Amino acid sequence: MTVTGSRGSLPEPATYSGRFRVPQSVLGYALILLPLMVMGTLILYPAFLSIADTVTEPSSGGSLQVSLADYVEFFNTPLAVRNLAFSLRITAVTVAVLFLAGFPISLYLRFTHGRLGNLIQMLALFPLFVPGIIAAYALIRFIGDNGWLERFLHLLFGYEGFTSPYLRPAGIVVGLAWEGISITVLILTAGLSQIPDSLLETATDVGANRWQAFWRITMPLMKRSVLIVMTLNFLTVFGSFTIPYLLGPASPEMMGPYMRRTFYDANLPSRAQVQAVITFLISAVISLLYVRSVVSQKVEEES
Amino acid sequence: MATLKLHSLVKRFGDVTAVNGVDLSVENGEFLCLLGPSGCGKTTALRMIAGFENPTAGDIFIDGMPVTAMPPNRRPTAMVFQQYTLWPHMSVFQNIAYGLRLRRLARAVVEEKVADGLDLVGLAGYEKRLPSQLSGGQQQRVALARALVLEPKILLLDEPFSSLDAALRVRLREELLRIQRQLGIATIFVTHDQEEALSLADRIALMQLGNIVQLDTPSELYAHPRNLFAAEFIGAMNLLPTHPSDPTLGLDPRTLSLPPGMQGNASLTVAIRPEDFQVTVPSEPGMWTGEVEQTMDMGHYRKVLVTLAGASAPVKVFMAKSMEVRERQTIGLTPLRYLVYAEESEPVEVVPDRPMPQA
Ligand SMILES: Nc1ncnc2c1ncn2[C@@H]1O[C@H](COP(=O)(O)OP(=O)(O)O)[C@@H](O)[C@H]1O
Ligand SMILES: [Mg+2]
Repeated sequence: MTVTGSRGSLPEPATYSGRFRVPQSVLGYALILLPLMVMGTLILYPAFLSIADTVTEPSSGGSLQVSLADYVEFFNTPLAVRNLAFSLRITAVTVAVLFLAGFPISLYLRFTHGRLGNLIQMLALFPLFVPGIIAAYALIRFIGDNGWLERFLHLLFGYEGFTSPYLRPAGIVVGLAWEGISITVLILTAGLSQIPDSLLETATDVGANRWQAFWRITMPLMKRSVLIVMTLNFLTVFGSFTIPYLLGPASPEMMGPYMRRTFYDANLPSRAQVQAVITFLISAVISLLYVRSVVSQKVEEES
Repeated sequence: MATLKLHSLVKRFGDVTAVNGVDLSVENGEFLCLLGPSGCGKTTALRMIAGFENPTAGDIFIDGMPVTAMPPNRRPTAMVFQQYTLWPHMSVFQNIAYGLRLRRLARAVVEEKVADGLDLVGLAGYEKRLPSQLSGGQQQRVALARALVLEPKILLLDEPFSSLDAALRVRLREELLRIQRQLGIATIFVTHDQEEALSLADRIALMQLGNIVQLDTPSELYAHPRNLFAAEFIGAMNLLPTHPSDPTLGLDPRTLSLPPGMQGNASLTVAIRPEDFQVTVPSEPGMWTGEVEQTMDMGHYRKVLVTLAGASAPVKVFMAKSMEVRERQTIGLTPLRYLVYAEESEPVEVVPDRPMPQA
């Protein structure tokens, strides 16, 4: 082969000039090897050990045998079952509150332009920049006994019947809602901005009023964003610790504080392990349901 | 009676005046194009007719009824947008049926109308498809069917084909015109493409900076553009300045037959269509001579750019391909027909062989 002109003098890319060619895929694996190793040794391996630990027990001969006794015990302990049910209930309520509060804000932000909108957006994003523990103490000052809210109500309306949600289940919901509102509004606003104006205008053009257009066009097109928000909020709320620990009642308690108490105060690490695995499994199931519904939506769109 | 009447319609967005006092009436069954460059207010005018924008001032009447304060869902208009027109989560059937269902028609009636609508736009059998499974052209047809099944008094289209490729655009244009004629529905079609407007419209409303500068049939608009903007915007046109008081600037006025009333003007603009030249080789006296700068084969005719004394830019000339010209060749040009524009007055048409009209 004769190569003429300036093209022949160009150096070939280094990777292909030597005797060894590094396939792209190997390079890719090499790049993710380190984080994978860190994850494996520090997270996955210990997690696997813990899970293995909870489903085995030493047999009379000294060897290990599979046993679900720890789980049977968990579900036979009234306090444990009560705390699990409490966690699920608080999570469900918080996820609902976040959606009901976040969606109108997002709708407002999507469909109005102006100063008030910018202000509301800033306020909605503000919690994102406040560490949870600081927010928790601020909330105690605000909603606690003799807090600002109680004094406001008294001064402005002469209202005396205020009962503080602090150290009550409602306290957890308020705190977690504060923490989750930013991400909720962010995701929902992003989802809404994906809907072009023309789709809604066409709906009114063929005779729908705003309400009908909202239910028939906006809501169905928001299905995926709503699903993402609900899943994400479920996972963060269900596994939360700081807010329920600082703002919630001593009993019943959410799984986060319950695990901590079992581990440190009661000094029962193996029981805490079982609680953690159960918490993890519930979160995993929710994630799985989410992934499945996203995949089935995709398949539906492509078929 | 006119189907649509706009009366001194104005729309301002803050400091921007998008539509600046538009008067217009559209007759029954008429196909009207709103034509103008981008940003001249076409979309805003159309959106006010549909009800998506509230006019700052002025009134809109449909069939003699004032509708200015009526929300879009109660107006007897139907609009087709440029893009993102179909609801992506609904099938073709559901898209077209939605407006009918809102009117609480019986299921059998809805099904029949949807089928008729799809028939009309040549998409029978596509009921079950999702919009993502349709091409761009098919999507716009479905949008058209969705508008038409509601039997609106006025069909509004905002550059509906502009995101499609050229060949498809031409096909859909023809199809739209056939459907419009078949249904006899008053139609307002917004476009920035003068060729599209010329080929579709019964009348064209040419807009500039929020105003209608000329409202005429396509042939009238082409033959007698009322001002220089219209002259330049519609079709190809040579605009050549000339100065009766100073022959050394621009085109030599002595070579032109200027209307008597205009000979005293300091400056005039002569507008000549590229097809209105007689080309002669070699040049003869009494004509302009110029040098061929470039020739382009346009298929059934030839486009030639000619450098002409006094013209700041090369003059465009369309000529038959039967005549051979080469680049760098000197040729003679004789305008057979031209318009002379003086500032702030109607243009005068000059046909050199005919007696001069009085300006
Ligand atoms: N919602 C709006 N807010 C502010 N300015 C607008 C709005 N809609 C249109 N305009 C302005 O009005 C003018 C006319 O716009 P438009 O009607 O879209 O023009 P066209 O459709 O002819 O391109 C433009 O200057 C545009 O920037
Ligand atoms: Mg426009």
